[in-house]
Amino acid sequence: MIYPLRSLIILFFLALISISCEPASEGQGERVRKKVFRYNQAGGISSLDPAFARNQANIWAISQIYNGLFQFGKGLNPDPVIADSWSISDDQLVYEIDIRRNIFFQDNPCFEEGVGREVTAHDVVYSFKRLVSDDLKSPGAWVFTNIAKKDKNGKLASDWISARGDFRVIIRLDAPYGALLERLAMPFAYIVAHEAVEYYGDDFRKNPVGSGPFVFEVWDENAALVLLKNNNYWKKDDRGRSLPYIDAIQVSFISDRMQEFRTFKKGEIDMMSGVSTDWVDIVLNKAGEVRKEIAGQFTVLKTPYMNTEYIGFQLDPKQYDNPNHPFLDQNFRSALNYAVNKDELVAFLFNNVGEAGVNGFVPPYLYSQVVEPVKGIAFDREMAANLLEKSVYNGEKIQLYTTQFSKALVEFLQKQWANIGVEVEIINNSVSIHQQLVDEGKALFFRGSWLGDFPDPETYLSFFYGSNIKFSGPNKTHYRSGEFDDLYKKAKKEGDTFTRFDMYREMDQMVTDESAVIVLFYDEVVRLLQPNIVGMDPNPMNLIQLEKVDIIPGKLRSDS
Amino acid sequence: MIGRFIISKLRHALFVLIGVGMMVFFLFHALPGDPVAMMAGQRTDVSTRSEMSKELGLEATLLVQFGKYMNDLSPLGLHAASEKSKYEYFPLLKFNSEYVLALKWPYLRRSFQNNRKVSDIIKESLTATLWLVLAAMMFAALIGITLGIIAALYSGTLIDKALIAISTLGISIPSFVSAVLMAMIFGYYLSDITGLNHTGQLYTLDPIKGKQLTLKNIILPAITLGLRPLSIITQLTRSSMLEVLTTQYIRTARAKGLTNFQVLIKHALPNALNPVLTASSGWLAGLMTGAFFVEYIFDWKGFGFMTIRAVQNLDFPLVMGATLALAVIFIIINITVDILYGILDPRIRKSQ
Repeated sequence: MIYPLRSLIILFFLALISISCEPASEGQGERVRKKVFRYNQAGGISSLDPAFARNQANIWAISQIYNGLFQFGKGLNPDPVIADSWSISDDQLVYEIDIRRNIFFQDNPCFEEGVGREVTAHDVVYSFKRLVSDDLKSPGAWVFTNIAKKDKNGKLASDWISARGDFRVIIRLDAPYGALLERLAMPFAYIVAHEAVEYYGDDFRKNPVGSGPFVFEVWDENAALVLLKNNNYWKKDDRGRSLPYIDAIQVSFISDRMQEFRTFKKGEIDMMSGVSTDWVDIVLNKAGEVRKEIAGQFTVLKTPYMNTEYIGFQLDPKQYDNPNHPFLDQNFRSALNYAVNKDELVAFLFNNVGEAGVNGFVPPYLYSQVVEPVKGIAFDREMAANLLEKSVYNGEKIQLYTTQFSKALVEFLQKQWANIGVEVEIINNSVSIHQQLVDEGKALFFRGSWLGDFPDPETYLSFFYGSNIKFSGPNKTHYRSGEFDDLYKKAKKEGDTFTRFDMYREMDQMVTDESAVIVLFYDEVVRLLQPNIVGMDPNPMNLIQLEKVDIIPGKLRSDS
Repeated sequence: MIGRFIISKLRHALFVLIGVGMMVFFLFHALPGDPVAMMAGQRTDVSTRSEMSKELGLEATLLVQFGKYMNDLSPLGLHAASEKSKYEYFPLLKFNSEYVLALKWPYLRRSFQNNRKVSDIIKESLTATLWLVLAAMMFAALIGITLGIIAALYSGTLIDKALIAISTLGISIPSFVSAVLMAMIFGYYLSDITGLNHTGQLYTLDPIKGKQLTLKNIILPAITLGLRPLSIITQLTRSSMLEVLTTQYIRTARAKGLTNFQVLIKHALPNALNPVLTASSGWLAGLMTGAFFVEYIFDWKGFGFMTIRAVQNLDFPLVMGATLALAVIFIIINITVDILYGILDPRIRKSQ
């Protein structure tokens, strides 16, 4: 009777031997010469199709494989990539964009004889029409649908985008729009090849074919994503060397941020991005400087990130049974706003990663080149007490909706509000439920964050635009003001940047003065790099471009 | 006779499956949360959202949605002629130019989150879990039997008492507690000594070396998952060993002049293991489900991890697929056991 057990044991070891006999260790020496850049993506990647570049994880990988007409580089303005030159008509409705010659798609079986062909204007037309098509249902369709030329029925006109010859693209707009190039630089608008989309069908998401610096090699959704150098990449550096410098990218999917950090410390990944309250104390002291113990061990990059963290109020009286609810009273909202010590919040909770929210809803640096930022609401407890006195608030307990991920933050706020005598109960929900409660306007007082889609104040102020109130539209607070909407429409059509930014500033001041939301802080990104990594430029969109990144051999690199 | 018995069991199984499907379907839809919100970006416009919702079939009434899901699930279903490649069906009967009655594998649809085929995801994650469970069982059986024998041999001594105490603790400690402890102690604080990670997969992908088996990553989760079966096996082995050791034939063997070791391994152990084997074979399914917490804590991307993540993301097809797959596993194991009992004991057959 011992036989079943014995055979089970034998079987198990046979199986183990058989799987461990797969070709494993070829060329340990090769590893030293090959330059592999490794980073981790804790939440995994859901698609490599640019039309589904809806989160940072997807965007990072997609940006290495594809090119857009424009792309965001170091600064806030998009750089031309596939686009060569462009002109805008006098009425600012027609954009003619010439595209560069001699950019080729990566070699792939979907092309004739497996050789990538030249990128033409027709590919641009195809990619953009694909993005907005009803069949695809891309979460990025809005990039064009709300600005491109419409026909009589309010649908996109058939000639909103067209090609003239093989290398000129013409985009027609419904009304002048100042930030089109920024929209074109979004990963949603990267250029795909119709051959690849047709060849791979539903599986195009895991068989990307672009014209970018890296070629897709393999993606095991549980283990890793591997991209290899595109040997035929068209870009060269200033000295005429062909890009990229590194041979491969390896993306791992370790879900636990602490484990990720330990892997990084061991030198097994090259970059870590984003602050996690778990490890920020290990890296930065309370003043936000790199700790002495680890100074010199890694490179620390800190840069503003286009993300505004806020607490929102539901402002639509229809959502309330009581027409005199304190949330509808500007004095009460301002009292809560003045009561929060935002400097202390950033210093205490995030080791000064981030900037206190004492300006408007739009992060101040977005204005910095053009106009003065908005003057916002800074901590003033006396003012808060006075406003509270004047408000309709009569001591009832109020409820703040949030998710578990903001626990430390909302508990900090709870104490700040208790100091002026407002008792706040915290209601925790899962991310999906929280989102739905906010979308439906049922969460009357809620935690949120708004991530700029591109570096322009418009993307922030669309948050307060009246037409965006519809169910689950961007206007989460259901803020409504005729004056604001008029300005918003006018600003969108304004061609002159100074005038446009002035209008945005005015709108921003309007919502700030009304305390439509409590701006907590503007995010910053902290990136840790191994010291042998060079050429990584931080970027306010928190994008990474690895084409110019290099790995200097010899410098601390534990495994090679 | 036995044929009819099996058919009646299968018929029961079918009803169980339909029942499970119905429960999960309606429970899931009773939950708050909008799957489309989990797929869309913050600026996705309303028309795209409603298109997405239509694509996912969420616009229809619940009953229609349920009917469609059951049609997709049923091996015999009514499908549009244009959807041959989607379902990979075998056409049986053409009604008109549009619809065909067709034979197919149950179609579990594609994940809302990443559009992968649910069947592929389940296959992949079940394999990872299966390896984990097998490794845990191996560990539990080898160590558990050894400890059981030691406890039996030294019965009544301090060693025996210590082993009983420890194994009782092992039985009573919940897996999420032991998982956290193991991960923190051996995968974190002592990781420089043990060289183990507290998370990791069976395979790693390296750009240069390709796919590589990383066996060390299975060690901690397998031990954690194996702790409870280990404790039970230890106690079972101990008690049945004690019983066997008092029997006449062991005395005979000793009288023949065999060494203690020979008596133990050749004569006592095979008989002592009978009850242990019977009990442990039934745990396989239990371990597959017990692996949920362990997988989640060790980041082992198996069936449990996948299911938890699917629930968090409101990934309806994946949650349905996972629940049904789990139901099928349990049904298969139960039917096999029933049939085996039926063959062995005619009384059970007759009572049906």
